[in-house]
This record gives sequence, C-alpha cells and structure tokens, in this order.
Amino acid sequence: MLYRILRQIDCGNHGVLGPMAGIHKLEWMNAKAINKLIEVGAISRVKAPPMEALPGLGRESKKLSTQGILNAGEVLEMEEGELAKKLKITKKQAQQVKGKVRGFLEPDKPKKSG
Amino acid sequence: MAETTTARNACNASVWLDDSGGTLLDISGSANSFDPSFTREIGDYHVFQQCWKKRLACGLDGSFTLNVVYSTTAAEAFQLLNAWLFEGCLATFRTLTWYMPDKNVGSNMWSAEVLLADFGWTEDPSDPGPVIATATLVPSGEVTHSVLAT
Repeated sequence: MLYRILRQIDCGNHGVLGPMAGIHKLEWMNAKAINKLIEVGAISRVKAPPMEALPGLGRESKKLSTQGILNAGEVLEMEEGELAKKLKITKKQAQQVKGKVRGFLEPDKPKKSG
Repeated sequence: MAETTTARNACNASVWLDDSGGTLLDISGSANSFDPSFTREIGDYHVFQQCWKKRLACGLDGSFTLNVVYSTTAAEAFQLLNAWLFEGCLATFRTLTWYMPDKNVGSNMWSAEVLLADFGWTEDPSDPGPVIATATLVPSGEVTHSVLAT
C-alpha cells in the first residue's frame, strides 16, 4: 500500500517527511500507527489509477497487463530490478518509468503566496 | 454541523528542553503550564476609491511562556532554566520541543531553537503552595510543526 504525505510527519530514525515528500510505502510503520495518521489527516492512502489510464505509458501498460499488473500503485511499489525484468528494459529505464508514474500521482507543488 | 469527537485537554501534553549538553530532557513533570503563542506580521494599506483595507503578510514569530515548579533536582525545569540563565552573558540556544495532546503517534509536535528571554518568580512566606517560576522563551529561526509518526 502507498501513502500520500499530507502534513509534515516526524518519523524518528526515518527522518522528517514533508508534504512535498510525495508518495511513500511507510513500510516501517505498523497498521495502528498508519490508521492513526490517516485519522488525524497527516497521510492518506493513494488510490492509484489503472496503468492504462496514464498517458504516455501505453506500451508499458500493455506489457505489464499481460503479467497481471494493472494498477499504477503496483508499479510504484515494485523494485526497479523487478520492473526492468518484467518490461525487458534496463534498470535506469525502469527508474524513468517509475518516475513518470510517480509524476502523475504526486501532488503539484504549492503555489507561492504573496 | 457535526459535533467534534476529537476534543482533547492538555493533561498528557509533554514539554522537552535541552540541557547544556544538548540532551533533550522531559520537563513535563516539573512544569505546570505552557503557553505557546504565535504572531504573524501584517501590514495594511488603503488605495484610492476603495472602501475596504487591504493587507499583506510577511514574517512569523512566536513566544513560549513556561510556568515551572520550584524544585531542586538539576534535571528538572527550574534548575535547568536557572543554570541556563546563569551560564553567562552570551546566551546559548536550546531546543524546545512539545507535544499535544500526548507524545504518541498522531500527536502534534512543535520544535524550535529558543533563547531564554525572561525568568522570574515570587518568594512569598505566607504562601504555602510551591513557588512557581515563569520563563519566556523566544525562538530564533523556524518553529517546525510535525505530526508524530513513531
């Protein structure tokens, strides 16, 4: 599961994550802590769209769908090496694919106020 | 309008302050109230042919008033503040961190580097209650706000 950081959270040894930190797995947190942070509005679950809905990723979407991977969230959770294997591309290219997917899911940077 | 179900009191709030070695100490057990306040600097102006004032905002500032119980243990609030005051003319910055409503996951956490601006108390022989000292701490730089996640 992926989570969007909505307010700055202090994760102790894992550092401080601000709203611009984007999307995280928060794998070091237990379910109770995750639920509490959702309750207080500090994070939210990412409801990722299907891969085929993301423009410019049609080829990757088709290849992944034949392997049962349909959702953009699944792609973000995947290690680059694994994604590279599934798409038969290099790790660097896999990183770029993940970057593109991430770009669709992360919030826009806040506008500067006067 | 839905009635809130998440109102909290400050019974389990937690206040921490550095000692001279930079170790954060929990002074909640020797502090009996804490008043953080923040201000935003706002300038206003009128322009011709307009009735209502306009405003622009710029800086932020804070001030933190800490009421502490007079106690004699070095690592408790009073002695910590007193030692800080008398460490010399050139005051050092200390880290002040506090948590509301408690120090658990999901709580609010604020933190700042602060200076001790005022410290005083009244010694009244006719008052049987503990001596309460009041300290005003002012931040230097940003006061950070986070949600505690661990």
